[in-house]
Amino acid sequence: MATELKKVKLTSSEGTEFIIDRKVAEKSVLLKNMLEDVGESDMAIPLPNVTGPILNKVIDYCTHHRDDPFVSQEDDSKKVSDDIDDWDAEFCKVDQGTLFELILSANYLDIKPLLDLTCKTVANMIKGKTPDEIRKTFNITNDFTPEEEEHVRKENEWCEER
Amino acid sequence: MGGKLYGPTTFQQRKNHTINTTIHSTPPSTNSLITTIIPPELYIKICEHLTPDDLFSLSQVSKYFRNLLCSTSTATQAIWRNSRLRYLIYPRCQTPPDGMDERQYVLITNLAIRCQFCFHPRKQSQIYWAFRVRCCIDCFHQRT
Repeated sequence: MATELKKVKLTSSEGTEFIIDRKVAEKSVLLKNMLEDVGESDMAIPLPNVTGPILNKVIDYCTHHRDDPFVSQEDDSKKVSDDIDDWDAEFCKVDQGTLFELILSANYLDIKPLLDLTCKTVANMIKGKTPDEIRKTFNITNDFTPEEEEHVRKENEWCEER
Repeated sequence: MGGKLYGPTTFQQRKNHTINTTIHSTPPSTNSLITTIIPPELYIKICEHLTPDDLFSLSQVSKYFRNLLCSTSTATQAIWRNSRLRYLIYPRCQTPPDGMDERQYVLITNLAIRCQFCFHPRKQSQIYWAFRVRCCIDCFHQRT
């Protein structure tokens, strides 16, 4: 139908304007609901929580996945899969700051498949690693007090040869 | 000047936390991006994809993650329960026995192998549910 051709205007936090297909915008449940509430309008939708570069990435994602069937919360809980397809894996090859900002934006814009993908990517960076390897991966300082350190050591002794 | 003031004080602490490392009460005491950008409530989504073993390692990374994964909050309990039910074949109960939280439940049934009192590497340990402990027969007798 004609919805395919309709355009939507978005502005990022710095005021950069993005004009995208309505169908692409509707991958975001937040925008979908807004557009339904507002109806036909030429007004740009301001997204003060999303920067231009991040919005650009989000739009890339939504454009690539524009024809995917909509997955509701309930269907999805049955089959949480850990697989990531090639395009998505390539999409997530970004610096950590960008990846975490994408998580925030996917959550804010309510784009469940993007939130799943980015969270899965972060989880894969944690999987199978020792606490020290996790610290190195994310540049986290070990800030335990000697007492806490001792507690952790005991815990490990209890579980050794995991 | 009050000890436990929230609101403006918290904001002030947040702004200063990279410089003032003596404050441990506010979330990240490092400038790691993962802890500064991602709010605690979103970790539930990330942890959906982690096994109890991974959660256990993560809980030993820093104060921040320890607080996040060792609390008795509903969100923390949900993180461990989801992981347990998704990745472990046992135990399948919806909730841990009274007096035990999800983390302790997974630890005692799946991750721990030794007596929790003597950690003896060769003594066999078993769970005594009545006391919510995993220990060897010697420590059990000593304590009962």
